[in-house]
Amino acid sequence: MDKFAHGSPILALINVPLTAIPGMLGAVVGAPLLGRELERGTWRLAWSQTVPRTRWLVTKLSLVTGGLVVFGAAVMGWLNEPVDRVTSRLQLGPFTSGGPTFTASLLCAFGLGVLAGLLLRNTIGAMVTAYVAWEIPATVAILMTDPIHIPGPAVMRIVCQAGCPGASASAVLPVTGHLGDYVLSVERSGGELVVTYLPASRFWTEQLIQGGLFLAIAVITPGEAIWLLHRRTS
Amino acid sequence: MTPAPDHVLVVIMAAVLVLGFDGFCLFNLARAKEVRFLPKWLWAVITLMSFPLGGILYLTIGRNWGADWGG
Repeated sequence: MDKFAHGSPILALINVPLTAIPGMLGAVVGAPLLGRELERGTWRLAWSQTVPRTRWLVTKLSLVTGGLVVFGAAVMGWLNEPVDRVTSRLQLGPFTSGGPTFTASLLCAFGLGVLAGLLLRNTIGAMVTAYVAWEIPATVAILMTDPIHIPGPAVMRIVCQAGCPGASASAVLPVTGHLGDYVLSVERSGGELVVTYLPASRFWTEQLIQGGLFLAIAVITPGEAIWLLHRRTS
Repeated sequence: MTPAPDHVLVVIMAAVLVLGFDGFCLFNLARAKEVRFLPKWLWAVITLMSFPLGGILYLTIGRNWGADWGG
């Protein structure tokens, strides 16, 4: 089972398509919002109504954002709830596919899609650009979930009794004795086991840091789109 | 710490793969008369930024298969 232990290349490979889902979904939803309007010329009709175009955009944005939040928070929360009871939510898969970070990364890709659609004026190009741009914060988030930990992992020393049988990083009940802790490594040192791990309570700290990164982009990009559209003199 | 010989081999193979594929895509992009949906420079950025997805996206979406070739 060691090939499925944390940090293994195989697990990372499995996780790549999994972590790509919010980016693709957000880009596919966000890019056509303004991209198709500009591409097909339908903006001439939409922006000449009595409703100001800024309010038209804000309404569209809030409706889609509401839908994405419901999808991200409610659907993924419901889907992950049974899994969270048996594994550590700090592992890459559960961490990125559940919790506020998932919703925030979805909104981040959506915002990038909206802005790319406005700037590039074509739907497919905007989708591709938004997804590739989304990969930058997503890569930072993945690096922060696995090799880099802010704040650093906790260390526990356990005195060995009867040679510490079956002590490994991928034990089903973590060696720390608390379900939900994410054990990074177990090393023997003399008569002790040195366990490096992330406590289960770390989940919310890390969600807040990564979610904040995504959310900042998710606020800036549609804001920029609204501002650009407001300033534009047709 | 000196890296194990097979690690060096894996790194060399990965480098050959990345340089080969990205090189092919960029060469193809440079020779193409016109590309679809995005400007050429943006396709180049996308190809370089995300291996192998960027290159695959260029070849499947951006490359204009029907157009004449420059040269």
